[in-house]
Amino acid sequence: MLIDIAFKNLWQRRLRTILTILGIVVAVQLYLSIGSIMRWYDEDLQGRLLAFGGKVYVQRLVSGDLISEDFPSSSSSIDTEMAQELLGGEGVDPQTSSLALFVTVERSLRPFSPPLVIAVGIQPGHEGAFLGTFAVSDGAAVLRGERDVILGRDAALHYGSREGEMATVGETIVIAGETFTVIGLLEPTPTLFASAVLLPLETAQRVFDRQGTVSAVILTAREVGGVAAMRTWVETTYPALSVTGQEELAQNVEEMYANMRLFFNAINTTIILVAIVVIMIVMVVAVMERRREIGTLRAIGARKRVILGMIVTESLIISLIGVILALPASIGMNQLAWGSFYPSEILLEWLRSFGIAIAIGVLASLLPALQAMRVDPLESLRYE
Amino acid sequence: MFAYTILGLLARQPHHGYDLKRAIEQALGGSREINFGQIYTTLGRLERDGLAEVQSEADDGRGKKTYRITAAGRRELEAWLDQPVVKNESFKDAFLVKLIVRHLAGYGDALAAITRQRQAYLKQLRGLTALAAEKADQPFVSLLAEGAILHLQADLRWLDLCDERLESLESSS
Amino acid sequence: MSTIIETRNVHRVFGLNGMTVEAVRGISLAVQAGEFVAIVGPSGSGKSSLLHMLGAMDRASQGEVLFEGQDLARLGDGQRTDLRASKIGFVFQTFNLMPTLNVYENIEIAMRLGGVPRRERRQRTGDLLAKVGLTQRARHLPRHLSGGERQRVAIARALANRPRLLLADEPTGNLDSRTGTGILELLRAVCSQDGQTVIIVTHDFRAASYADRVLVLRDGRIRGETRLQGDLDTHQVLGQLLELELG
Repeated sequence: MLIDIAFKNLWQRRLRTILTILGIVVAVQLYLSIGSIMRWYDEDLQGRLLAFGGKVYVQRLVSGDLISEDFPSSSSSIDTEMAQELLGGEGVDPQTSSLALFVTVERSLRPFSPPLVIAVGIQPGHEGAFLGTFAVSDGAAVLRGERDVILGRDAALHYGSREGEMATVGETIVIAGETFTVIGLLEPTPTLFASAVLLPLETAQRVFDRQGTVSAVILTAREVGGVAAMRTWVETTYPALSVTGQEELAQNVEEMYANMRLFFNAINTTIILVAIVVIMIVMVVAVMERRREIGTLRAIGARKRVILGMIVTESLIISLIGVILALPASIGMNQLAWGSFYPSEILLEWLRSFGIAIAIGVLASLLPALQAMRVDPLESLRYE
Repeated sequence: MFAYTILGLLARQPHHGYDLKRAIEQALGGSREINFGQIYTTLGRLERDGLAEVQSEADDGRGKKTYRITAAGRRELEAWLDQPVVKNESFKDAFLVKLIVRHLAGYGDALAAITRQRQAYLKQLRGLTALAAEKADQPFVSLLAEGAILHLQADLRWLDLCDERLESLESSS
Repeated sequence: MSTIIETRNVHRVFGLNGMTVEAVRGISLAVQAGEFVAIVGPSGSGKSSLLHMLGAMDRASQGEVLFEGQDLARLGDGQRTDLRASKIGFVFQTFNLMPTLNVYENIEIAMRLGGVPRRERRQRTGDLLAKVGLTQRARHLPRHLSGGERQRVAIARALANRPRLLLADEPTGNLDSRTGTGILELLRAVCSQDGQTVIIVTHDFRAASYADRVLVLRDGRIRGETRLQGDLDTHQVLGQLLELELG
């Protein structure tokens, strides 16, 4: 009912109001950015799990190397001979299985993220072992020549001749000092595949100086229900090797994400608390300064709930304006930080943060509103 | 006092009796008529004491005299103007006398007397505030009224003090 | 004539650091509709405490304060607040206008709190502005007004809901005497022209002399009561005055 007075009070102390709103903008944009990162990880996780259906990765892990932190592991190393034996193992379909070499070419700018570009040496004709259900959208799907490469979307963007443009089929690119010809582009895929540069295994071994070894053997069971039997065979025959299937991957990745989510959620909770405290301090001071005014309003007939409404309204105005301004701020920050942003995700987060803004506004105003309600009408008669 | 008022007017320029009457009445806010007798008696006295003299007499047969101030008159006026006023007359309070006599005579109920006195003062105060508001454009008249108002306010406060002291006096005896 | 407000042997005791101070010690008074009453006394006489109880802002420790026959002590905070909103207007020594609202809005806010519909608010605010002579100042903020103008706004605000009772706490306390006279004349005008019941509390006898009835307070008690109805002939007053001073 006293909404106009709430606005005028805020306008009266413009500098303070603007600084408070700025604080809320910073907090909410941080909240939005973190939300966006978390969403991105979730999608990535789902994508990975999809692509590993019916397959196992056999790797030799260096002790202490968590599979989840660096998957596929680029430190894993298996002799080519032993790897060949695995391909001929029980229940293995050699046609859709392959030896693979993973080498990180470019690290990501994002924390905890898979590499920006990862070279995937694969046996020509067996690309499907790595790609699974993902297909090539442009060009060929089979590495015929020694210097042929197939690029994921992110990798193509990385090797594009101009900023923001993807490398196209037929273009030549330089990796580790050698030139290659792009023969195919993958359809949009989760990160791991998007960042991949597929090249013939032997070329990869030579270019990255890994002759005689591979990182992993990707095994596909001959029968749909044969994965378990295939795993058992590998585990009993080669106890030194570790087998990672969809279940482990899900579990490991989930564990890692759980920690990360906890971390991010802790940050987010802190951000919200900071925002609440900032507004609370400002409102407590505002009530302290205006005790006589509030007393006067009570003296001329304002009920306690009218005073309550006025203080809650002021608090809500600050938090809502902060949230509204946080969207452009968030887009700007994302653009600055990573050169890209996820508009749909941010919009969604933004809508959700309206709820949070209302929560911040209401929670922050509870204490000051209580103080304001307790102001006695007689305080209007205090003379300074 | 009236003699000094006339001396003051003559100090500016010579006047005859009728001029003096009009000038005084005007300075007093036109509220009061001065009679000629008072003016001529005072002029006669001033002439006798050598403070004023006749400058000329009109020859219209009615003998209208114009008066002017003498050097002695000017000295007397200036001495009077420069002499600071000592307050003593206005400290005398008739009501205090009544209170004392009331006490000596053994009549109680000083509060009733104080209340009656307060009523009288308040009524006077009301009249004076109205007057001060009405004559706000006349500097000397409003100053006079404001001065009287301040005196009355002091008197009213003093009545409160009388009440307080006499109450404790009565309760202790 | 009907009684607007009445106190019966009312007391008010304050507790301060373990000591009790009795500010009001058994005051009984009755104010009739249309009266202009001044409660006068020095600071500490209990006049402000009495005013707070008359204005439904404070409760009596003992005794009754009856507003239109209803004991204020029996009302809850909400009911007393509503009473202040609709039936009691209050004028403060320090004006107490909302600094962020302009003159118009400061008058209107009382009606918003009193639940007056928008259209009627506009009409009444215009009338009140004219009554206190501030129509030209409607869009000014309080800080751009003189003390006397602010107090006029405060009086207009206090009158906005057409209260049965207008209370003023030292209404001229922060004004020079000439401006104060204007305010007192305005209060007397709303009393005599509109039949508004007015109670002012003051330490200034000059302000008190505008009332029809003066109650003198000392030490929490009424020490005297004086009626001052009717205006004196100023011409006669001046005549007397000159006789005293110049005669």
